[in-house]
Amino acid sequence: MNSADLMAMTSKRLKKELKQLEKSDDNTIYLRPIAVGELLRWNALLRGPPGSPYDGGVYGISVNVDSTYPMSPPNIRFVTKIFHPNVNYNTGEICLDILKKEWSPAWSLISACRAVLSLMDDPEASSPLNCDAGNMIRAGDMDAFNAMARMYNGENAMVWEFPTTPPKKNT
Amino acid sequence: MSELSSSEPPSEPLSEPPSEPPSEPPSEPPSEPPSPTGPFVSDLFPFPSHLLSTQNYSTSTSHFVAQLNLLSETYSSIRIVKGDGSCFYRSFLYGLITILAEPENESERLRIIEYVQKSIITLEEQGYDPLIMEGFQEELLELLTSTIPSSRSGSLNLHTTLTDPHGPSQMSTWYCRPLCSSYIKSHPETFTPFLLSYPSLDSYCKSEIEPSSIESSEISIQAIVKAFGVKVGVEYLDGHDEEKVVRHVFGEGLEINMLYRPGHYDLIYKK
Repeated sequence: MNSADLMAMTSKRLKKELKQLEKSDDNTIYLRPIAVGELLRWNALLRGPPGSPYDGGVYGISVNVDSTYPMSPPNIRFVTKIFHPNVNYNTGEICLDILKKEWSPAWSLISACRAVLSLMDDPEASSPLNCDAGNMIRAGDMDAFNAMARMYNGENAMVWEFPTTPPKKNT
Repeated sequence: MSELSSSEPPSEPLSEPPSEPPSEPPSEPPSEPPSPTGPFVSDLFPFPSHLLSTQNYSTSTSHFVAQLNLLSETYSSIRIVKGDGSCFYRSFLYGLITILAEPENESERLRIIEYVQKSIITLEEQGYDPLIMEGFQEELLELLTSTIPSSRSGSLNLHTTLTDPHGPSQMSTWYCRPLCSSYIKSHPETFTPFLLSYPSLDSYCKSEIEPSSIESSEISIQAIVKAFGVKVGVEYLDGHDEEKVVRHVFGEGLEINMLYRPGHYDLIYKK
């Protein structure tokens, strides 16, 4: 099987996305490949949304694609531990429809990260990967949920520094 | 692969007992959808003998065989299309590109190239990222522009290009979906009444049209034929009536014909 051509399609698209990212100055999401020249493995930092229990925290997520991207979705996981009903606390797995059956190639890596960010702001208690968090929200006990999420935020998410300027490109 | 020597329907419906097994779920379509790992679009097979030899149609339990025989008065060949959720769009694109390759359809080819060239502007107005969409548009334009009105040998190359899993057809096939969305969103008066159960046309398109695993619907078929200005005729092989096959015609213009078996579309060709 010749994967070279498919990779050409994938890498063309990813290069385009990287170029766009390098031109933008988004101060809520910082998304880059893990190393210069790497295109399939990316990391992102998400700033906890103001007003959410994650405010003040910075969350690392890993964004990996294979040679079927953008026809199939990136694999996105939290690296920083987060107390959230739609994220598995231990593995970082995220339950988000657009990363599964509602994925379409109209999404990009950055727009997928934005969807993760808005999930942080707007948890969906009906399909929990973290039952404790899901139960608190379903029971209407937002105080308990917010307190727990804030506690874990302080414990796990305050150690990152959010990049203010893009690092210099090595050529 | 398949043995397509028999051009006649088998006289005996295999070795199945004549009576219907009581535990059989009746709603299950008796046709096996093409494997999702097969080619995008198969070579041309004789119709209906190819289906009769590859599907276990039982004459005692349904009217599929009778309906296929009725259709054989009009159609003589079939291309089996990969069954991965995109069979309608793939059939549509394959049918469209090959028809546009015919020399007599040159003016339609030019018209559709122009439509696809302009499509990016509409998509951008509707909030799609033009830089992302361009990648798909370029692939479709490549297919349309490389379609030099061809001799018979040229059509062989075209089949190879259209079925190459690493070629432009994969991305072009998906691009039909945002073109469909775009048509729906720019004609809200036509489509909103059918989509009242969705919060917006936008959310309908995002979840029901654009994901590549989602099958087409009557809405998306209506939209795509209008968007491209072509006609799709669908023969419904539903096994309900041995004396007739329901045919639905969508749109107007150059004609692409498809056979619908419950849950799946293939391309069929008239005699």
